[in-house]
Amino acid sequence: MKTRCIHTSEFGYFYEYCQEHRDHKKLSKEISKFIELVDITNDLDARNNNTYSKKLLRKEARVEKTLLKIANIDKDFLLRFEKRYCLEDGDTQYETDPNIVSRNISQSFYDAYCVKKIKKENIVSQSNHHPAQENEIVLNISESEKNNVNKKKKTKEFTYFVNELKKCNYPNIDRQLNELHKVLETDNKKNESKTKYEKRVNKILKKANRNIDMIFKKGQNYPFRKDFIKILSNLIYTYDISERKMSDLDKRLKLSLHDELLERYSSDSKSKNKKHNYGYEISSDTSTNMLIKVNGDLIKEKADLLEKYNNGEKIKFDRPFASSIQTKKVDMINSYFDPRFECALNHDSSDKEYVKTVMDLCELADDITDDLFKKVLFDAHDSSNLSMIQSYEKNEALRTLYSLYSPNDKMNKYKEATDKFERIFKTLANDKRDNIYKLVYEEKQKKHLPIIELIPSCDTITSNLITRETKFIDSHAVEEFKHKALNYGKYLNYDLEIVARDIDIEDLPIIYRKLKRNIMYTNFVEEIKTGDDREKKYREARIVQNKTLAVAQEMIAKTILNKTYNREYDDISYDDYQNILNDIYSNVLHEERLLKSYDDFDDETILAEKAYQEKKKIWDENSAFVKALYLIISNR
Amino acid sequence: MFEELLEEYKKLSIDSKKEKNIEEFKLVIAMLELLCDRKNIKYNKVAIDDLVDLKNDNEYLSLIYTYITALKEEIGSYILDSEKRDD
Repeated sequence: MKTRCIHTSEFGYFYEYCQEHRDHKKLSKEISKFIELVDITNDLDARNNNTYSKKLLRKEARVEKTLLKIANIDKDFLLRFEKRYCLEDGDTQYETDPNIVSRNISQSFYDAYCVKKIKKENIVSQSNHHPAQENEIVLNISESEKNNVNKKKKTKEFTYFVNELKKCNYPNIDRQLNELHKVLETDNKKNESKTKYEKRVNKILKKANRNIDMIFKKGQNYPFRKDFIKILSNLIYTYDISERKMSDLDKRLKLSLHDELLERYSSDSKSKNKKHNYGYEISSDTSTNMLIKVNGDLIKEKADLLEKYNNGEKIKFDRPFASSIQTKKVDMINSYFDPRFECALNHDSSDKEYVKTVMDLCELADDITDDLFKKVLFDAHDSSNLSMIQSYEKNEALRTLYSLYSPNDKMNKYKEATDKFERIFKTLANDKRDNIYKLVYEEKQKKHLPIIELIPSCDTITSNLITRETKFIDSHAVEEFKHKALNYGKYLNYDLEIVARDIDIEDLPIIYRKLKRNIMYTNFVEEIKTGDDREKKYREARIVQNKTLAVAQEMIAKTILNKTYNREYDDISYDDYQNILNDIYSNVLHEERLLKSYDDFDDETILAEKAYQEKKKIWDENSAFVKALYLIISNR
Repeated sequence: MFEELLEEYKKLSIDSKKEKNIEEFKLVIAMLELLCDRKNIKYNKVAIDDLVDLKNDNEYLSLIYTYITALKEEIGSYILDSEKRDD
């Protein structure tokens, strides 16, 4: 008897999503294949551990292939699913890369059937189980999967709570929600010591606690109490805390916020340490002599190295301490002639050697992604669009080095290595291959590496690169745009248009919406240095916020335009260029262009404001009202 | 003299005009409150919310309406008290 898939995992949802869209014209063949694969997997015999895991691995590889095909034919299909899944899951941030979505589903597929295996084993080991139970076992997967989902949710309990409330959009709670969002969006400050940051987190928590208390009190007294209770009961249901008191939920939310902030701070500090790894490292190197060496006969040096490498010589230099640029050069050469590219395998190689090669290639893929990302950051930092280019000569030297030891070349070398591996691997006996699969799987589990692919493909590297670029834009954009909006252009660190160069056009509006959200929840008041007038500060902060949004909008629109025309729009007149930009605003971003109005604001309104203040001062000198006010104050 | 000030006011952006109006109202209300407090005059205090979105006309007009009501209450109380004292 075939069992229907009922899962709470991403894979389970996707299975049901596919059932709903079986008649999708473009995809019907792939969807049927996917459903068939799942149904066959349902029939796998889980009693024999080894055979089961081998079969499962093979099935998973096929599922993944099918999913990647789906992503190629119609990536919107996957993205639409992802959006729906995340929203149902209470998560407003969803994945924008179809390859990652397909990988997640495939991973979830494997997990689901591993759980099934464990469940079956447990039941099989019971001596007097009823045959009907075995059918239930498959359905029971949902329980343990549900626990996993709940575990995942628990880490985001607070965010989930805020999102749930936000959906209701009650005006009286809005202000508290906005405050909570501001708290959530609080960013780690540069070079902030641990003690200072802990103090600040405690302050934030106090503020948030007040807001949570307020929401709870308001929620219980307002006319919409019924709805509020409904939300709470949803939360209670989701987190299975029906036995606890209401105040426990309140405490848990606060604890959850605490965890979330701590997690965010630690990840922020890590990312900030890495943030300027490259650009600042370059500019801090003041050794001109080293530069002359670097710019010397680099091409000849590479030719010599290549010759030695082709003659079988190992190329590895020790890292010097003297100069960061020299260190960079040595790193580039060492990684270019990395022995892991060689893939020295043959039919007689042992299983262990195969496993080692696979693991080496996996690490190499990670290193290449890292190199590609550093190159993107370098280009973004080195961009002529920035109003101040730091240390031109040093960047010139690095440009030369990058052209000689390009990460793209390394990618090609990696492809050759993986092709070679696959050619040899295909010809191996089934038993040997299965054993290698198993050993690799164990090794990857130990190192917490993704198990979807045996070796990451070039597509995977590219998709990982895009993920990092997207994350970089997410974490740096607001700061960069804010500086631009405040006319601090010369302090800009990166040209984000360059960082976005690998990102698909279709994904840019999604990134814009995320940016917009980040900007709307960023606290701009701290940036305003004019006097102590709180109201004035808030007013100016709002202006800066809108200007920042305008800059973000302009950057995304121009990136879309550049991608559409591949930067070949020299023949287009200025008016046409503006018309195309306006088209992008209205048809792609679905918004009105903001930048123009804010440019106008700078010139005219500030002048008008000044003129008004001058006249007002004269008026106040003779105003009876002001005189009376002074009289009252002085008589106090 | 006021005409000149009005001319400059007219040149301001809509948002800025709204802000100026709010500032003026606040000042008058603050002065009357101070006066009433000094003379121990009791008045009906009207709760006034902060304006969150200047572009929201509905919110802005409601706020102005609240200010006017608060002003009326304070002025009314002040006149009543003065009348009592005169009697």
